[in-house]
Amino acid sequence: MLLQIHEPGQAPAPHQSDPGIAIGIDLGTTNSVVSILKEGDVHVISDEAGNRLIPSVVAYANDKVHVGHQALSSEGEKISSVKRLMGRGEGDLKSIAGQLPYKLASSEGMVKLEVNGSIKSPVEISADILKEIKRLSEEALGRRVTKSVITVPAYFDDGARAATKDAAKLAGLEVLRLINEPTAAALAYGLDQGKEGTYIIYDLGGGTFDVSILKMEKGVFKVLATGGDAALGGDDFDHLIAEKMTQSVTNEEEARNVLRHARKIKEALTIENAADGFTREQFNTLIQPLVKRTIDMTHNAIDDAGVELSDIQGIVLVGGSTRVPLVKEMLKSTFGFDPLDDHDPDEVVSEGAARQAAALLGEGDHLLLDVLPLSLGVETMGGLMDRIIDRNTSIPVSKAKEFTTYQDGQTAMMFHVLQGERETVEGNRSLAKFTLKDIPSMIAGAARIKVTFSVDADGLLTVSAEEQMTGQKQDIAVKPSYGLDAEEITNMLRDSMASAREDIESRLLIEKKVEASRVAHAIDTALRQDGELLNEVELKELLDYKDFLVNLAEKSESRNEIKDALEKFEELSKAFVEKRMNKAVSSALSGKDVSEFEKKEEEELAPCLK
Amino acid sequence: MMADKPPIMSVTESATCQVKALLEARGKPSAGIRIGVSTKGCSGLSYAIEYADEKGEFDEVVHKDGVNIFIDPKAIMFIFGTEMDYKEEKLKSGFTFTNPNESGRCGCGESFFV
Amino acid sequence: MNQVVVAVENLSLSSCWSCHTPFDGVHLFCPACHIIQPTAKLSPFSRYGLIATYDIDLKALEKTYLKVQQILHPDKFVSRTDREKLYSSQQTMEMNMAYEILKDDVKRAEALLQEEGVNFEEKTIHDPHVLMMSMEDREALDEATETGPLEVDAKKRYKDTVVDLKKVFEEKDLEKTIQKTLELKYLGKFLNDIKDKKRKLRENVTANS
Repeated sequence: MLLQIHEPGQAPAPHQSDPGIAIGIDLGTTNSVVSILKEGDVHVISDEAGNRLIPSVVAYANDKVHVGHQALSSEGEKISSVKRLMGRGEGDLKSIAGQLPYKLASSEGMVKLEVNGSIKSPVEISADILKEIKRLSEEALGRRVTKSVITVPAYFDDGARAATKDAAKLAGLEVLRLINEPTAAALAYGLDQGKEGTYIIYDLGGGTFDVSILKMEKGVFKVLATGGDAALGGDDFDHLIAEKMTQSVTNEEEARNVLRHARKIKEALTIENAADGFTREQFNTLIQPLVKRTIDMTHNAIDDAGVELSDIQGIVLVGGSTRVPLVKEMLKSTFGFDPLDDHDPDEVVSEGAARQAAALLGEGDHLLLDVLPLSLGVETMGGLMDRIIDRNTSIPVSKAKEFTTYQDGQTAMMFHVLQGERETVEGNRSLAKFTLKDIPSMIAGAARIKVTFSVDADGLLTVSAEEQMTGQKQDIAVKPSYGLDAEEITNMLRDSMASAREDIESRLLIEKKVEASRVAHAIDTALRQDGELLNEVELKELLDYKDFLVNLAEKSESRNEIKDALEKFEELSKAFVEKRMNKAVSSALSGKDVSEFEKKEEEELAPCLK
Repeated sequence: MMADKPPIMSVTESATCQVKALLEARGKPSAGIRIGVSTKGCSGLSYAIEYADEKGEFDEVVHKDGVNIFIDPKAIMFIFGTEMDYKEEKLKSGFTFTNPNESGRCGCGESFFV
Repeated sequence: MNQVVVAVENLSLSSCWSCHTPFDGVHLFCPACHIIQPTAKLSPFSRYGLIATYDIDLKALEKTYLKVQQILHPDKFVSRTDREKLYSSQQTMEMNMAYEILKDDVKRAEALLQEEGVNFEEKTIHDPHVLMMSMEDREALDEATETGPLEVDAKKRYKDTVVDLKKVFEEKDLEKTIQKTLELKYLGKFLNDIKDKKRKLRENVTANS
């Protein structure tokens, strides 16, 4: 590393010159979108065919993995909507979908799927989507991409968040931060349009509804409250239409066809007044109760935020289902202003993620303060949940509560970690169970066991329990019961490494190409400044070679070819570099009166004139 | 004035020469340059060199060939025994410190820990 | 130089974990090298540089809170060492917890009274007026088909009680302060119950439509 002299206070932090790049990923249930912030503008990265939305579908066929549009047209076995399974245990699965294969997996672990003869976890499938996103980004940007911000639904519990992070790790992506989807959307609007005040972020996707109340002020984005329903979305609109359709359905295949048809009708009705025998009015009557429910939940969130309706400055729309006209109409009639919808609701989340990714690397000084979406606690006597951290608490946060033994001589205590808003254990998600052992034998109620819950800025929980008298302590990361344990991750990483040899080769090629274009750019700048130091022949030679380098950087498929060219170029430019140096030194010394030098001691000048 | 204690660090001729040239080119009167350590790097510490308009109250001074190099007191323990050099590479040039006290460097060499 | 450091340590002051410069241990960042420091044991009030009084400027508190987040939040430490990340997270957690106590009229009062050795688990409301009122409140809430008027009334009583509480804190009448704090706590709970009822009424309307 070569250091430069700077004006006082101007010295840049190391790595500031190139903090790397980070992409923003909206890892959606139906579609995924990836963006990057470049010179203040967000660019959505599209696939080879120019599609900006990448279907979150993976097809597995004979060792070939296809993702996105390629997967849709692939012959292999297709897996879609894997996001719904993230961080889910077997017990949860029955409530999500009846038809998914889940005969595998141990009863303790997370859901796994049998795909084309092999067993895949949702984390692995999600990782395949992320790998494709990473590949597309690297190709589009011409450089290695290892850092990301990934968005998750605000209601995502601890297990689902941990699973998302694991998937990224498997795909070779560092997650700088997990951020909530509605928050990301707010960021996109707030930073792009300089909005200030308190806003409702209304996010209606295919299968989920999220609402957040957010205060934007002087570059600080503070989430005041968040709420929603993990099982309410535009897909329910399709179901309502399907129910009204006259066809009788006898098998799954037919059911799927009817639903597909229903969706087509819904999409047509967002633009036209009638489609396939349905009128907009009929459709509105059908979905009105569902939209009303989302508006009730929005009111609840406003209450939770502790603000009044009159404090609200606007509504930001997110999610494809907000294209339904009734949604906009009801929001307008309830809250009294036109919802903001000038950003594409499918892309706005990824846009916000890209902005946050850049901010985390030091570009931009806004700050995002988010909250815990669902309360955390432990099971107590009688199958009840005792809350330790309430929902809507600002994160990161750490809180402790003391518990005691209920039997004389009790030496162990079991903790069952829960997340959710219900009073009873059954109504909430079970995150983990652990036992604190070796509690000294005492009479009931004498032991003091302090349980500490810590939630980091990604919304991930760690729990520790400590007996206060002996200091007997147990730490648990709440991950393993629903995510993958460290060993599983290591094994998967090792497997993927073996198949990634060619990946490495292509990455090295990309890096060499980038180096070539950097060198070409540098010589270009130097020639523009000091080109007159060279005669015409020399100048032309260098310029030609520069063009050759630019061409190589664009087209070459051989790392060695570029390497050789760079070495040759170094030889070619040596004379020019020397001339530049001499010029720099003499210009530093020129313009001075000779007598000035004479005042100085001889030895001061001597070394410079060697 | 000329103390006979060993100098805090050594400075190569090419470094003093370049410092001189840069001070001249700065276009305003300078007392010298100041070397500090900043704690912003990826493995703890990194050098920072700035132009100095005046000597800091507690700065150590290394005087070499008519150039004043001030050393921030916080930096002394890291700078002690190093050699400051000026190097030219293909298309870039800059100063280096070779530090016998160093125990590790981050991958890019931009920061170090002792 | 070493002797100075030892002397300072004897005064149980700390020194920077990174550059070892001794300092008072309360700073968030080392005064010499500006690197983030581990958390110190402080009351919520001193964490925000406030004197422990009930009547605090909540607007100014919010400003300080946001300023503190700007420099401490883990998002600002993404490219730093793991140790700095850890301290940033811990410092932010402490600041968040302290803010939660300070901005809440009930929790702030409880924190001050706990300093005086008051154990709230042993305390109950004695004032027959307040007890009577709470019974009437329950009845009204059970029967209400609309929460608006109840909410307006309860909010006003809450505000008035905060004013009363400020006064009794100033008068340093411990027993009265405890009673007022309990009354305020009750009103806070009642406001929450109103919110729940409001939610239920809303959902019923939706279910019936």
